[in-house]
Amino acid sequence: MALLEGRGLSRRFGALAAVDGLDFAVEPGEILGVIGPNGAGKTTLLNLVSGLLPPSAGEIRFDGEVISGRPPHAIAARGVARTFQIVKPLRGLTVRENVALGAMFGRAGQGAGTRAARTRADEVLALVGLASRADDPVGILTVADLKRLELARALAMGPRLLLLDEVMAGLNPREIEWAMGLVREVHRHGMTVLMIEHVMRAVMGVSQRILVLHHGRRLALGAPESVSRDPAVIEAYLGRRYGAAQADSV
Amino acid sequence: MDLQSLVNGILLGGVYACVGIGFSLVWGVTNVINLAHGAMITLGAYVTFWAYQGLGLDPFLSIPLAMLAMGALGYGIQRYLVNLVVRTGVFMTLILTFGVQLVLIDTALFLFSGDYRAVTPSYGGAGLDLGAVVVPYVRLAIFGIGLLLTFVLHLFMTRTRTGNAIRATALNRDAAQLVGVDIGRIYAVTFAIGGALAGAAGALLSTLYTITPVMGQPLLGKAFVIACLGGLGTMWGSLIGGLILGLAETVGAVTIGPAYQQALSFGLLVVILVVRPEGIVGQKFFAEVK
Amino acid sequence: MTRPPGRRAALTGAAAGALVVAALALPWLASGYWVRVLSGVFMFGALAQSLNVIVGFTGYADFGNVVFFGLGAYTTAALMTKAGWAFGPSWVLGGCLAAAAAGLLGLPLLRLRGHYFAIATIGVLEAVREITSNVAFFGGGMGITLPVFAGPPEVFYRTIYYLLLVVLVAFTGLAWWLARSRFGYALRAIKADEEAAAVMGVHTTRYKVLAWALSALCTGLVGGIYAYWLTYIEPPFVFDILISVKYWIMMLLGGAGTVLGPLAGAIILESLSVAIWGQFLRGHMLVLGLVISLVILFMPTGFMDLVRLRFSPAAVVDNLRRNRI
Repeated sequence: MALLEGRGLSRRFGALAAVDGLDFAVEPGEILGVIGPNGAGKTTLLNLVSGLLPPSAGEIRFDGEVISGRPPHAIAARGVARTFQIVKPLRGLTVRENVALGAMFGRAGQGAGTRAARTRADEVLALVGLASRADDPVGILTVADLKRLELARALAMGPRLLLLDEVMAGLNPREIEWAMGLVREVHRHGMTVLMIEHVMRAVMGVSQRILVLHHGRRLALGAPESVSRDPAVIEAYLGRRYGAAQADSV
Repeated sequence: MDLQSLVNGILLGGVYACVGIGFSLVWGVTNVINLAHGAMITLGAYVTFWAYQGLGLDPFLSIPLAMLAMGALGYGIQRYLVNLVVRTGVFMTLILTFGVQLVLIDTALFLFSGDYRAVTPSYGGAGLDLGAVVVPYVRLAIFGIGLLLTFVLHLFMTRTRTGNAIRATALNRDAAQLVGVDIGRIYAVTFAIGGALAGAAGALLSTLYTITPVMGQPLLGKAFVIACLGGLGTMWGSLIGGLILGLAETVGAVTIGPAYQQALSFGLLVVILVVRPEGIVGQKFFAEVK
Repeated sequence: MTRPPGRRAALTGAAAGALVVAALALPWLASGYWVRVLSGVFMFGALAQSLNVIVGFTGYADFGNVVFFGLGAYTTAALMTKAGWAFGPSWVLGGCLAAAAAGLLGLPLLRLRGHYFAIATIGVLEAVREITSNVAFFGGGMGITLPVFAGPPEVFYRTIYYLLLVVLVAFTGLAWWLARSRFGYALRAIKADEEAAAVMGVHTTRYKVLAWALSALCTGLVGGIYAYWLTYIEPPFVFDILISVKYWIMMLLGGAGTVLGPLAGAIILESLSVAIWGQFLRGHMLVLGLVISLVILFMPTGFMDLVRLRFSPAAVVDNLRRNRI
């Protein structure tokens, strides 16, 4: 049984369908990359899964249970953690306190006290390389460190499904390598990952399957190599000329 | 509910529109909640009284005088006081305007004493007799001037450079600064306009109510309601907000009785906030208080 | 240069303890005037701490918080006079009623953000004030006279003093607990970024409503003591937005969201008020207004922030420069 499943999922904003009749499934223990041109509905999909938006139609199931329409905190408690494309650090709290919050209120921490949460936070901070910044206020962190914080907070929740929203954006090549390594490491320990990405090198290199969205619909789903050669995908990204050329050359 | 009450309500709405427009403008554009607004209305009324008693000037002719005086005061307050703490957020500026309010009220008390003052022009009690209803001249004039002020302000905001700069600042302060708008000056000008409008309101109100140093306090409360009902920072919003409040109070007094008048107007406020927080006409300006 | 955090906490704790002991001893050492002055300081300190829960920690601008003060005062007064109850149970029930009111109102109102929530609370305050003036159980608009304390005046004032000191210490302790408990973490997350808090698993609605109910309970308890102290209340005495403005200013002045800030703010502002009242019979409002304005101009980020910067002039000036337009 798929860990995360969407059936006929739609989300409308007025006349615009950001997500339109989407069917997808994420198998337990896999890394599913989600790509697509801007405006394809990727972040909306994440907002639907994490509960920040209710669907206009269709349903989402996590581990067989319907989660669409449930409040975000309930979905988080079931084991879904996410990062935000534009990072949302909790200002007024230190780095450690930010991560400890994830540890306290995520799936792993139900009922945990603050001391246990802070200990766990330190462990996760060491994993992402922020241990030296644990007592710093978040206001002074660099973009790369803020991304690490976003990730650490999500990991501290002890989730079963990790939703990553363009985690690589704004990182230099060395940082991208590091981030890819971290995703692989986390995956190796049993995490299921759904990652939205624009950085092709990263998402193609890490994912087992790729889902391509276009105008809110599924354009392609499959292994990275086949998706990258799919004429429809090329046309969506680069226009009809390139798509046709590719189709001719196959 | 009879026609006279309806007319009374609309005319009262005109008064309230004048009271609310300056407050709403300043809040919507600069995110400063001007607790001294009521005191500025009071001082506008006192300026009118002084002109009436000392110079024999008709209160309606004192409007420009009151506007000038309070406009200058407003400019000074924003430029030399509030601008210094603007980035700390709306609550600090709130306390500052509270402090300013205390100073202004005591100044009024000092200059004019606590005695009740009145401005009583000769045409004070007269009205237009239309058979079924009587429309008092003074209230009609106030309503007309309220419309005029709203219209002139609208023209200023949409047709002049400064007006456009003010609107740009309201929508996105940092972006406005990047295209060359001098934010400090714009804030000061906005506050000056707010002050001028408060002064005008004070001049108009001097013909209706007795003038005391604390007459502005209940008006401040009403300004809150009017600004929110209509939508922060919009010109026509205050007119609409004022009308709704005026009608609600008058109709409420007649149907439910005067005892629950405040509960009605504030209940209305709470309902509007839950149902449509940006007000009837408003767009979301400074919806977040940070 | 910096002391280790453990040692600094111990020193603060010791200083606080010494102050409490001094406060306990004061009524036996100083005149009735000082007992009453300090009672006022304790009362406003308690109110500022109570406000701190919903504003400083949770980030919701409750301008109309004094409505709970009035509800606590009126419930206490009404139960003592109309139902013949003793002070203790009337007082507790007053606080509970205020908390229940916040719980009920919180569900629709805490969905509002920023300005809009603030104004809604003002609306509630004004509406409740008027309703109280019309309800017979609360004496209509005629006010309620509470039963007189059975005992000599010094004992009465001393009792009020200790009651207020107890609630002040309790509410400050509450703030201390909030700063390090799970509940407090949730509130601070809500204040920082409600959406992020929600996806981390924080049940934002439940925590917000609880925070408001807690604040209302505290404010209501202070209101009950106030009614007992004054022995006569009318709606405009206790449903007065100017009281709210006063302890709002104290909380901001001292530093919202800190443990000791609201208390510091109360001490500073109340001392200033009393000193100015004493010196300037005429024009005291003007002087108070000037002083408040000057204090804000020089301490725009609150007193506790100055403490954090260790009062270093360079840091203070830099702080000021960053806050101007």
